[in-house]
Amino acid sequence: MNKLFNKSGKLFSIWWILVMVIVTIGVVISASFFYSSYGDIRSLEAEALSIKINDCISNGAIINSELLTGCGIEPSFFETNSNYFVMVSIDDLKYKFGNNAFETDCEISKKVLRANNYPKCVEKEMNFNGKNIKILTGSNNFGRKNDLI
Amino acid sequence: MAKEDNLLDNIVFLVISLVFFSILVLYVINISSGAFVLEQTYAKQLALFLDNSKPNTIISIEFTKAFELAKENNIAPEDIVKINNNYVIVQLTNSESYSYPYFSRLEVVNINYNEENDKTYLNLNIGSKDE
Repeated sequence: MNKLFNKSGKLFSIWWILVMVIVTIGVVISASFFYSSYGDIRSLEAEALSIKINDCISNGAIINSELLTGCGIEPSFFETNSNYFVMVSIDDLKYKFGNNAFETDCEISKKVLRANNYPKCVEKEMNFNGKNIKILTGSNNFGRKNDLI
Repeated sequence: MAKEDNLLDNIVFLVISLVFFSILVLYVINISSGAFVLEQTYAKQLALFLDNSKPNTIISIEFTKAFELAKENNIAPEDIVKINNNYVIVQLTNSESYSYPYFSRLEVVNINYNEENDKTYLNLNIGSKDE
């Protein structure tokens, strides 16, 4: 048994213990980080928002500042500092709802490979009654953990 | 004697290393199937369902693992999933809950659970806020 904790370090050397400590810290930190923001559904939300507005316009909704309510979307989630954004462009008119900063952020996140803290966006074009309509939707919503103690 | 000693050293070393790595693997398995991950999964899943739903829909999802975990932690069934001001709130432990918003103008009229073939299902009856 004298070799097990031998100073010359054949089995349990200081280096082996150091490796164990580094591996433990690495696994604990990476697992905690990974599972603390598990399942990013921002792009799915942006897609759902886009489909909802697309369907709504196709069904004849009037494109104006009341579009969201008319499309069955809760307008209180589309205030200036919210985590959602919708922009509907028709001819030269642009109707924006939610966090306007996302318009630029969506452009940036399109150009870079990884932009974790930027919103996930979906851009679609549709033709309705001979008019070209562009729909840009974005979400940067991460959910919230609530401590009860 | 020296050879036997060597063998014993190696066996002890192997056993300790195996125990150490098993603990790490168990830790990862435990954290990946823990309450926090389940709370997030169900809150996000339900929020997405609600975002894509239409009024007068019934959403039914398998909820066995989360329901059992909540039962172990003495959470009342009516507190496991709550819908409050367009937020889906899922609580499986006494110390925390997880909430995620949905943007549809829908309200959940009724939340209930039913058991079928040893599995628990969560059912949400959806209505519209505009009706």
